[in-house]
Amino acid sequence: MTALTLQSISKSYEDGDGRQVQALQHIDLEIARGSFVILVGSNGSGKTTLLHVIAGSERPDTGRIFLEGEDVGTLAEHRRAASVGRVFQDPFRGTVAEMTIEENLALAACRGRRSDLGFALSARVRKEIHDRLAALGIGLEQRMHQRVATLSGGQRQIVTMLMATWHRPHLLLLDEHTAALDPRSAELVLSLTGRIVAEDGLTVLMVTHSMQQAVHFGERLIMMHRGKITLDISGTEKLRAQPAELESYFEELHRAELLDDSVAALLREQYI
Amino acid sequence: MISAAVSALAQGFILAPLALGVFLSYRILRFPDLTVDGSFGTGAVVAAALMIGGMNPASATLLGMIGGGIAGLCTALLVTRLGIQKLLAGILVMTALYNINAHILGGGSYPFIDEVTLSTYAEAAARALFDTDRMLVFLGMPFSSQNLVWVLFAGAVSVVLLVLLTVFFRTRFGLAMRAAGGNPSAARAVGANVSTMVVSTLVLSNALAALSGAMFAQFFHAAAITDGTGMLVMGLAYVLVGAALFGQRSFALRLLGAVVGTLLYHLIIAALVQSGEVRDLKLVAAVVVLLALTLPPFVRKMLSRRMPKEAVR
Repeated sequence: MTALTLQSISKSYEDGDGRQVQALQHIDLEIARGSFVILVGSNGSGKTTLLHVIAGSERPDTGRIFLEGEDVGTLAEHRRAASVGRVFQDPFRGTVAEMTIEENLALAACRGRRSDLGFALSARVRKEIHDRLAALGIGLEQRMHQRVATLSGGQRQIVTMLMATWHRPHLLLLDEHTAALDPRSAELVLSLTGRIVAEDGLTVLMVTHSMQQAVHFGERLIMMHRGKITLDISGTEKLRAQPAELESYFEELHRAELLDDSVAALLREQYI
Repeated sequence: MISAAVSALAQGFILAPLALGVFLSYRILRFPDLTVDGSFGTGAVVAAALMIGGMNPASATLLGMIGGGIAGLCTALLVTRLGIQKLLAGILVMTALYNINAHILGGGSYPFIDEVTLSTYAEAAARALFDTDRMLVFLGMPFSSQNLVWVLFAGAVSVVLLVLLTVFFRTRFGLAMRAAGGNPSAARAVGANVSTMVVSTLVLSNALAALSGAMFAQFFHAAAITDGTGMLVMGLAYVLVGAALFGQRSFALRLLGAVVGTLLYHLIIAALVQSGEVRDLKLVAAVVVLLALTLPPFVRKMLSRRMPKEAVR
């Protein structure tokens, strides 16, 4: 059973100079339920756009998106949020700084329900928040009443992670969620990520810049370049992959790109 | 002396809903919504027009509130449906309301003479409670018994509003509203409909401003289309005084701060007016806002524990 199916997704936009950029070119992708998929690619390869399209914050120009078999292409982002959890790269983006930790989590507990006039922080919800924070084992349950603004970047990402997975989403999108953290925090966030994903048996699509992470996490690796999927390995092939090998493949692509660009620039100079 | 204080408290409580309204747009949605300059007047003129037509003042005031809410709805739809900047949307609706308010009132101003207004009720209540609708004496100092009734009435309105808003912001809807203003991308990511929340906040905010407008006109026995001019800045001054008192406390205390800030502001201004030092009230409000936003760094540091960042930026 597939958790996510993308059929021929294309997306283009205008860059600063008014040129059309093909961010995604006819992407076809299926992600099996319960799998942990790593997505790598250089800046501008289209991976962030792909996440935006899946989460619903951007509409693709063409193509269809299915989550657990349901066509969600026309669902607005906040509606799709009922089944897609998301952790951003920027630790400030996933939480509301001036609300307390428990208020943020209560918000996540409301996910998929109507925003009605019931109390958000009922005793039951508060207890569940306390227990889930305590289960993380980093002492956040003692700071439930503090504003998220008082937390470090790593702690914020952990709260965001908990918010994103509160109701066991069909798909969890991790958008370089440790890239903005110091190494120790990144490690902590990653290990808690692994734990939550394993405990809940979540389906994950994780974008990363780190070849180390790409090799050590997940059972399937996808590489994107210029809006296309250029590498898709899993199983033993993925297990055998070495960081250095991926780096060199990466660099090859880049060299090709530089070549393309320099030729294009030459042509422009000559003929325009 | 006491007379001035009672009058200041009455005005403070009458303008407290405005302060709560500005709190919602400025502190939750983080922009100074100029619509209130129009919707304050809308509340006044809608209530006035209805009372001139013979409606009882309570219903007229409530409908004035709804009028203000519709003004807020217009601004919100400009923002959410047409993608116009929040600040510009507020300015557009405020400007349009200037003429609309004049049409509703049928002129620039209208003094209440024969109409039954909340002031008529206040007069009757004063007679019933204090046996006089003129002056009471406390410690040898006279003050208006009607103003005291206004303090009690508008004070009760403020308390009810505070309780309702405090409860409201603990509900799932209220929490989503705060989140949508505080961090739209986070709110969307957990499934809150940010557009709906922006619309709700602006409707509520302007309905509260209109409630103040309607009471304001009845307190001063006249409705004028210029009533709302400068009210956003007044509201900001109240909210910032409140922020200095209850800066980073809980949300309920910050709401309370807006009301207390309004009362304090009016008491201080009344004291200054008594001593003959202050006359240009709107100029003073603008200067207070300016000072609050540009406090010298050392004062800022001193207050940094109590003031939220947005207030001192």
